[in-house]
Formats: sequence, C-alpha cells, structure tokens
Amino acid sequence: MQRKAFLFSLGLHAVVIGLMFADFHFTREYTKAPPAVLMVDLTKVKIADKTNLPQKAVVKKEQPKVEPKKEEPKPAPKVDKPKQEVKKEEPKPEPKPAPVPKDAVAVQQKKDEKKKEPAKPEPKPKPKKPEYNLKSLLASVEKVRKEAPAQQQPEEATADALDNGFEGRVDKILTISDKDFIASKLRDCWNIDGGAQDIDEIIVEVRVLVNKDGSVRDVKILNNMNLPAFKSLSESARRAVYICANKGDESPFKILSDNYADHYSDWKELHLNFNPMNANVF
Amino acid sequence: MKKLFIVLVIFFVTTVHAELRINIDGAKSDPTPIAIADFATSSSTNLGVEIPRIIRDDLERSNLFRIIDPDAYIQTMDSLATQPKFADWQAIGAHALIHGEITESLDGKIRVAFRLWDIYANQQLDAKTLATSPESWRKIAHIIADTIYERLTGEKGYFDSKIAFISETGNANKRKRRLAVMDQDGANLRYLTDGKSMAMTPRFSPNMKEIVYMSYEGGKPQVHLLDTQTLKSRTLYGFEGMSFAPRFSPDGKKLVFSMSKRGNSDIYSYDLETNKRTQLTTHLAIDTSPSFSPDGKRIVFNSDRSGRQQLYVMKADGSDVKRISFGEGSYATPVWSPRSDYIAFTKIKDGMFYIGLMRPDGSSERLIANGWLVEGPTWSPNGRLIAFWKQSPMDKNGRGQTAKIHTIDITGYYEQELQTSEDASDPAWSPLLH
Repeated sequence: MQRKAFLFSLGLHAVVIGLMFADFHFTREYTKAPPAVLMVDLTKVKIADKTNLPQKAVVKKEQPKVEPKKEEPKPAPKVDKPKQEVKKEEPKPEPKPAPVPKDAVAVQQKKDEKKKEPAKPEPKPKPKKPEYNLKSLLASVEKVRKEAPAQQQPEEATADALDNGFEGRVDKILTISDKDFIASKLRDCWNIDGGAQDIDEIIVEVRVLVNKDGSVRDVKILNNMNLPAFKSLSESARRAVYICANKGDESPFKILSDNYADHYSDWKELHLNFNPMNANVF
Repeated sequence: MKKLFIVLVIFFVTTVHAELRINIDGAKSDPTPIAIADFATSSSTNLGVEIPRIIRDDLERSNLFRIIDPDAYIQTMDSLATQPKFADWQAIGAHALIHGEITESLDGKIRVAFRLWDIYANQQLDAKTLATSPESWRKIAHIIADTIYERLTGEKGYFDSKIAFISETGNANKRKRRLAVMDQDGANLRYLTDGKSMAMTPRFSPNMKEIVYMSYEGGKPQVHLLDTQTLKSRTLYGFEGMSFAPRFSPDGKKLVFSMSKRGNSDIYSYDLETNKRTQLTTHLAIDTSPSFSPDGKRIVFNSDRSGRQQLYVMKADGSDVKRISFGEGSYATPVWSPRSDYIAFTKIKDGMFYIGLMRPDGSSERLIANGWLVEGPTWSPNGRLIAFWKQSPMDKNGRGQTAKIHTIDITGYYEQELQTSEDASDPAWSPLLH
C-alpha cells in the first residue's frame, strides 16, 4: 500500500517536472520584435524654449505664477525680535503707560461684567462649488461639435499649420539662456514703486524697434489700464528699455546684434510684456 | 482663388508675427534717482534755493525718490532755461529732472514756474506756474512736490497737509498737554489750546475748519469741537457720562464717538446739523474707537465682546456687525485708510505694542512697527504712510521718557521720526490742502 502511494507520488512529481520543461508555444502570441533604437546626437540639437506648441495662449497666462519671491528681505517688522532687554530693564508699564482713556478706563470698570462670547472665529464662507449645469455642458458640447467640422476644412487647417510653423519663429532661434539674459537685464533696469496700489493687476506691453547694431530706435507703450499706477509703471517700463539700451556692451539688445545678426528681420521689432509680479513688497 | 487666399495668409502671418516676444516678470523697487536743480530767479530773496530745498526734502523723505547731489550736476542752471541736455543728466543717472524759475510780479506776488522732464524718453512730463504771496513759499514748494510725486507715481501726494497733535511739555508728574498743529514736515507749529486742561485724540474735519478732540475740561473727559480759525471750543450738546474717541464722518456732517454710561461703553453717532444723537451699538461689552470707511457706509471699531479687544466692522447704522480680527493679543484704535484698502490698528501682545495693517475683511494682517509703546495710527491723505506716536520708557530716575511722532510706509519700510522741538503724541493727519 505504502509502495503504491510512493510510486504514485513519484509519478506525479515526474509529470510536474516534465511539464516545466515543456513549451506550449501554441498558447501565447508571438510579440513583434522591438523597434530599433533611434540614436539622436543631442549636441547637434539647438534648444528653443518651445518645441512645436502653437503660440496662441494669452501672454498673461503664459507667465508662470511661481516666480521666485523677491530676494529683498521683508522689512523685518521688528516683530520677530522681542525686545527682551527693554522689558527687563523697565518694569512693565501699567495696562497702558500713557493715558489711554478710550478703552483702558472702560475695560477696567467692566472687567467683572464681561460677558464672554465664544472666541471661535466665524466660519469663513465656503468657496462656491462650480455648478455642473447640464444645460451649459450641452451647450459647450454643441459648440465643440459646431467648431469641429470647421477645423477639418482644408483651407483653415492649412492656415493653422502655417500659423504654428511661422509664428514665433524667432523664439525658436533664440536660445532659452539668451532670452533669459535679455529678460533679466530688462528686469534690473525696471524700477517701480513696490507699494503702488493694484500693482499685481498691471501688465505693460511695450513694442521696441531695434536697430541692426542693437541700439533702440523707438519704444511704444501698446496697452492701457484704468488703474492709478499704470501710467507711471508704463513710463518706467519705457524708461527701463532706454536705460538698458544705454548700457553699451551691457545692453541686453547687444546680444541680438552680436549673435543673431543674420536674423535681423526677426528681432527688429520686440514685443515686451512687463509684469511687476512679486515686485510688491507685501 | 483658394490658393491666392492661402498665399495671402502665409504672407500676413510671416510679416505680422515676425516679432520677438519676451516676458519680463518682476522689477526692482528702489528709490527713483531724480535731479532737482536750483530755480532761476531775478528776485533778491533766497527762494530760488529754498523752494527746491523743500521739494527735495519732501520727495526724499517719501523714500520713493533719491535726490542726486546738486554738486554732481553737469548742465548749468542758465543753459537749462532753454532745453535740458539729456545726455548730461543720463550721465549722472537721473531718471527725471525738475527745474524752474521764480519771478516777482508788480502786485508783490511771486510766480513759480517749473518743468518736469523724463530724461530717458527725452520728453517733458509736466509744467506748471503757481502764484502766491512770498510768505506762502513753503506751501508752493509742497504743492510742487505733490505734483511731481503724483506725476511720477500715479498716486496723489501728501506734502501739502498738516498734522494735529498733542504737544507735551513738563515732567511726568505735571505734564502739560496742548492741542497743536504743524505742517507735515514739522514746520509752522501753532498751539490751538492753552494747556490748562488736558487734550487728547484730535481729529480733523474733512474741510479742515474744525478739530474734534477729547478734553478733561470740567473734570471729566468730554468731546469738544474747536474752530481752527477762531480757536473757539464748544462741548457738544447732550453728552452725559464720559465721551471719548471722536471722529468725523467722511462728509463732515456727523461724528462717531464712544460714550460710557453706567459703566458700559457704546458707540454713538451725532448729527452736527440736527444735534441728534443715535446709539449704534447696544452690547454689554465695551465698544469704542469707531472709524468710518472712506465711503461712509461702514464703521470699524473695537470691542471686547469676545472676551478680548478685537476689531469689528458694522454698517453705518449699527447693523450687520462682523468680527474681522482673530489674532492673538488685543487690538485697538482701528482707522480706515483713505484709499480703502487697509485698516491700521494698534496691537498689544505679550507686553509689547505694535502698529499693524489688515485688509477690511480681516485678511493679510501685518505688523509694521513696534516699541515699548506705539499707538494711535493715522493715515497720510494718500493712504501711503502711517503716522503714530512712540513713547520710550523712563530710566531708573524717572527721567528720559519721551514721546515722538513717527511715520512709516505701508510697505513696512522707512520708519522715521518727525522732528519736533517738544514731545508730541496723538497725531492726526489732515486731508490734502489744495
């Protein structure tokens, strides 16, 4: 009996081990051979700050809101520095050292009667949830549907392709570092009042006509905003262009004439968007 | 036809969009360097030097401008009369130039003409001629400084304005507190009361004809109204109990103040035309220090109804009370900015005093000044600066305690002491005079 069981177990093991070596090729699909690796020599690629993205976004939206905060230290509202020494030297004044009848007198009289209210902050109104209105959803779907066939018309598609191909051509020629260089130079030349009202809402659009040698021929403010500080900010932006242009070899426009002389027609007209973002000192 | 259209589109796109777009995010916030030349004059007076000196002092004290030392100027005053040599001014780093001329007319008045130039845009930004009697030369200088400030910053100036305050003399035991007024730069000091009874918390009426203040005349604190021309003072009708912390409404027709009756302080308004008094708060807590919003529709005040002094905002009729401060410590003397964007206040926390700012909804609280005792913020007419008074502690011998008025920019920078010959407290900044 025991022998029979042993033989049965041995046979079963042999079958299992045999199955491990078997190849059931008919149960799996043949996969295609992996594509050949395409080698690209990165040293030959010129990096532009955009690839093939169409430049249709509004300028304001393009600017990232995560600009590093101004390095200028906060006014250190001395608040952080508790004046321990002062307090030690001088005995703490009475409730208020100066005659402050307004509140102090009354506070003293009323201390016993104080009726405490829960100091719990009033709950802030919850932000409204966006309404998922089916009607509006349908309307927008319908809008998309209406627009869709139009995009497939050959003429417009061609125009779009052309648009993507040619608009911002200079942007693709200019390297990120050169573009950053120009922007940072202009930022250093732009001096504004960081405490001006509504400064965060202001963007100044300026068109600059540049000569082939990098000198500035004309500066024109393109937009207008109905805010008190806009005029002075736009004038300071225009001044910034002239101040920078007057810096000789340090001029940000010099890099265009030095490095991109062959593409003068592409940079003879610059469109600058001055945004004082994070310039306010609050 | 279609092909022609496509060709035209290609042409349009390539020509119109062939421009380089660059975003400049951020800027410097340094004082703008400007040059103010002495004014040309045929007059025998020294006004050609003095008027530009006051303009320089005003603008430099604002800390939005840096005045380039006149010794560095290349172009002479004589040649300036025709046209500035912009290259000469660019060479010394000036962004703007101010120069002018003073002439005397036959009626004894002086005429001051000035021009403001943008040195880099090579263009004139402003030009004005002002006429006045020679003794008002300081006022002319302040008005010119205001004009330049407004043209270069886009916001109204504050130089042609006054500060009412309490002048303090004598030792701590026998302190004489007189109501006084001076120009915002400390000049033209004038006493309005004789100091026989203690005066406190002066506030200008919007038309500057009156000052409302609290006086201990008669033994108990009462709200008084002073005519700034005749210097006659009167107590307001029907004020039983102690009345204090008065302030005008923006239209000047009403007062708001606190009145304490039977140990309870509430806020009242007082119609100056009908002499009618209206109780605005009826809480058992202490409600005090009311201040109108610039549109006159709301009032900010402080109350200890939550257990500690906190700030509250209500409608001008006393309804719809909302708490806006939730920080640690106690809040007092709130005052609404003339440009509506902030409420300034005094904060007392851990035995220290602070001057702070918050938005009218209570958000964005910032503490911008502190000291052993800092109190009583008041706004410059353009809402850009805050004046307050700062007291230093006495030494061991009971000496050395001083009270001085300080100003600070709302950015939290540039705290400065206003130079006064005597101790000064409880400042109240006037509206712009011109």
